[in-house]
Amino acid sequence: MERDAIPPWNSDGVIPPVNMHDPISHDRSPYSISLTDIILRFGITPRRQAILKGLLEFRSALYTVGIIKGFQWIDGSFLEDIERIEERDPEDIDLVTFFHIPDGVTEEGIIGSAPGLFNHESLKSKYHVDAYFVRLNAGAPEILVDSAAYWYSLWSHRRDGQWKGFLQIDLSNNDDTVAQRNLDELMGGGDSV
Amino acid sequence: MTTIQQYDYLQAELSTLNKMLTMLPESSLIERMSLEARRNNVEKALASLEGPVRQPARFSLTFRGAPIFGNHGVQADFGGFALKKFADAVRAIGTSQTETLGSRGALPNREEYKLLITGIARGSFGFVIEEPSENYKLTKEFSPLESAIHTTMSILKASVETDEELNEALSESDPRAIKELHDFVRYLADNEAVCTLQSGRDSFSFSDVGQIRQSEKRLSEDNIREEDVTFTGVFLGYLPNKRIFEFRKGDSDEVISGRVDSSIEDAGKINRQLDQRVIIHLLERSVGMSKHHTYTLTGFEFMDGVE
Repeated sequence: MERDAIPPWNSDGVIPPVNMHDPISHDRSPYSISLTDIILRFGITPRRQAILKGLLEFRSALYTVGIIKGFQWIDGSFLEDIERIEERDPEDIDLVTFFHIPDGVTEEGIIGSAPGLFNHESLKSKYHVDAYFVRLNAGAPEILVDSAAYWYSLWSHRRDGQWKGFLQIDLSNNDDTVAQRNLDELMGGGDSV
Repeated sequence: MTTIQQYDYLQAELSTLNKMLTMLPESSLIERMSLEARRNNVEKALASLEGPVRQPARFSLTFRGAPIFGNHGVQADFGGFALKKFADAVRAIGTSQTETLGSRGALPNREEYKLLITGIARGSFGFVIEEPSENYKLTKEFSPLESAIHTTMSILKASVETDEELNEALSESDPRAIKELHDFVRYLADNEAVCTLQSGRDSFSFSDVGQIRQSEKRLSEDNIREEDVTFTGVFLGYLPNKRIFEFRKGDSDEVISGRVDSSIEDAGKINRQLDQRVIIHLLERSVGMSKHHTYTLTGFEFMDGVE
């Protein structure tokens, strides 16, 4: 799948909703990118690296219960130049996981196998993710469109009306292996992978 | 973002979440947990705002005329100066409701009359302006800025009406405040521009440059005559909240009333010495050809050795 480029922060310290440096490209929010790109671009401080470690662990937990197909929208202060704008570290990653449930499996069964995995508060403290979920194969397309519109409207601008962009990454165990190596390298202080 | 905007956004989000939760099939357990957690956070955020909250004073000031390019833009120097002069006028009118202004020098820089530009008003071109305060409690009382905007609009409206109406509209404003508003109107007239002031459902608009020139002449010192006068007589009463006095001149039946100037600190003594002869000092104001006067009490001395 062809990936987008992550545009640089604009003067307001947010990712713009379209790539102003290449306005005729197909790049627009949500930018479809790889997890490794996120790590290389945003893993620039120890706090951010710790948050990314949590994100990888969260994704790994999802794979464990059979949620392996879908994608995630990523947003929040983690994507902003928050250290410059507000002189603070990001607290977590805002995350919506759009997921498929495998055939023959129920949501009840998945929750039963990992009770804490869908508890919003414990996800925040355990994995540093402010995580929400939308099921892609529930069989109610109108509801799915409503959910997508809700999250897009919420995340495509700040509450003061300023437009901004956000990112999309696939759920993919293979990608995560590469991303994990890059993150380990960053946290170990190496220059490259 | 103001508290009220935050509150509105959260309320809107809460309504959406409730609707989504109603529509969600029972089998969607994971998404339900997710949306309920979100709703819980929104409710916590709403509670933290100590809502409901009062709308901050918000109004728009738009311009038409030579320095304005339709609804596309306004010449920066004109827009900047016009806004500054308007802000000075509103501050002077507001401040003069509670204190006496000097005839010259800097105006008091009162927090409650600071203006914040929060947006562009189109149609013609101008600005959305509001109170900068962050945290409003629920109250039906006008803020000082709302009162000042209301008075400013009343004076602008009256400046194209009769002399009596203009005199009445000016009755609570200090000469310095009138001068500041006159400066604003003159600046627009000199630049062949007109303005519209809109606050809530109330609005006033100059129809054309000819009308704003007329307004400028009528707000000028040449048209508003002010004179210090002294009368002897008795007070009939004083309303402390509105700071209004009533007074009967000499032994006649003529009764005059007016505002008590904010420089008089203990106006309450008036009601303690009713029917006692007193010398009062007034600022008498008349407008244009009108024989109608308005009065502002600037001082008084009780006679017979008692004050």
